[in-house]
Amino acid sequence: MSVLAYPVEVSGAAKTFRDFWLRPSVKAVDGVSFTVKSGEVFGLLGPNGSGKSTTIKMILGLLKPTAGDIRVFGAPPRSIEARKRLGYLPELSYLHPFLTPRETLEYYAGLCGLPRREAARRTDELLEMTGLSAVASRAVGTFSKGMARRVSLASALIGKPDLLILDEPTSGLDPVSTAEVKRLVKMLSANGMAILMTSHLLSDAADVMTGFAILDKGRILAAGAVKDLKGTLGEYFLSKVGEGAGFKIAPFLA
Amino acid sequence: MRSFSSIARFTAREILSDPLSLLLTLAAAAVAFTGSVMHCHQFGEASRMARDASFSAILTGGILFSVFCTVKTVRCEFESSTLEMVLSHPVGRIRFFMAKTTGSVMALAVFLFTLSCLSLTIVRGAWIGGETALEKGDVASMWGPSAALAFAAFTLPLAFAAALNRAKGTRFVLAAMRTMPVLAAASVVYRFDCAFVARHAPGLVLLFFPPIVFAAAAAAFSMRFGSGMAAFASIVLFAAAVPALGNYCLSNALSGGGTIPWRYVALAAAAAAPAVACFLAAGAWAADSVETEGEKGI
Repeated sequence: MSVLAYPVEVSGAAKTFRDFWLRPSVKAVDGVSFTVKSGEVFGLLGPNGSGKSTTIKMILGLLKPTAGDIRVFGAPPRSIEARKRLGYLPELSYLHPFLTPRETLEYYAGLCGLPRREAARRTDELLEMTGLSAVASRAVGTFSKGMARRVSLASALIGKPDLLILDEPTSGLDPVSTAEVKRLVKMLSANGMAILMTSHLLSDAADVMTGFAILDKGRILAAGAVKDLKGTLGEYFLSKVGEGAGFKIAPFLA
Repeated sequence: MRSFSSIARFTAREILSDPLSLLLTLAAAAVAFTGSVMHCHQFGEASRMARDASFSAILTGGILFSVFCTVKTVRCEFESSTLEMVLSHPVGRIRFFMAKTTGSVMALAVFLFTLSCLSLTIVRGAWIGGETALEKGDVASMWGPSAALAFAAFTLPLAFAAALNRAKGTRFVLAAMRTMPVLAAASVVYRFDCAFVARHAPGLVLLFFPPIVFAAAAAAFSMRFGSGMAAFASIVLFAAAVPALGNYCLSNALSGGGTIPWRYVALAAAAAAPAVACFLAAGAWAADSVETEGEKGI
């Protein structure tokens, strides 16, 4: 694995899902290429079903690309070397409901191979950072969505990753929590962490992103730097993706 | 190694926190108790019936415990999408599968140990009481204080956990599942008979192998199929294995003060090992090729 490799290099990646009989059914991603550099906040944007989550999962090694090549710090995504340096915050909080935040973080610290003492210290730090110290001994299953999201974020950061992948990080959060997440993203990227994120909330995303790529139907329609845009990101997005066919009012509602 | 032990310990704890494990353990204990005291089945063979009832509870209960608890803990990772979180960390897929299976076997060991101690207590009590007490229907005299201790092993933990007000869902179950083996072991230690335990130990160890094989099978099936299909496949395997389980003629070997040589235990282990290895290999292959498409979460 090259020390100077980019955090994420996607080259012509494609993914075709097959049905039970192994016949191709859905081409979710079709020839996607982009690069994420250290310290960059790169946004993968697109309407629902455009292939963003599928691309993210291929980068995480959860799905195998049907074609193309993906490298994470120069290594295949499924390799241990690649996953040692990345953290993942999914859109929904996939947590074990009977564990407390402390137990959750210590579990994931164990998965990262952290020694017990280091894991305990890191757990305390992250509980403090995410404001969960007061509820560290409460089962996660009793948490609100925002609190569960904070546990997930702490879990993603437990291994001190160099690449953080955020899937809709501000989805479902109140304005205060959203501002906190954006502040955290800026702080982490300023410290040299590469961040790859997806978002539907373009106004929020534009506040933190430096680079972006717009996907639709599994293909990249446009890519570039946010600072080079003449208008807002939302306007540019709609100009590329279109405004959609619109809802058709059924006759009985007219 | 740290990640392996983390996953294994977590899996064992997850299973022991599941009300299903407590239910299966109590059900097996109930079968062991009631099979011994039902007079209509005695036919003048009190100690043999007590032993057969408890041994069958260990074997059948152990297989059911291993199948349902293993399927549940593995499929839960898929269905709740926590598998995505786990595999986004530096954990190999095969290592993950092996650790989950190891954790299932660790939880199974708690069940098997608890029921084994209970079995020794029941059989010992029936042997001490003898035929006369049985004919009188004097259960308390037949079993003696040992049986009372064994019964307490299953009720005190529940009362204890509830009294401490830590009885909130899974923590109540975990407290009970952690305490039962301790009290069950205490019931054996009370009026400990080394020769008695040594005579029955090989037979008890023989009963451990089928549940371990089924745990490996259930884990392998769960990596490939959904919960229902994995459980169904495991039960079909159980049905197919019933004729082979008929070779477990433990009662004949243990009657009249007999014992089972440890070399037979070694032979059984050697027979079970390839089956476990095959299932582990199949599960490892399935783990390496699995693709997650999770949508659920909190």
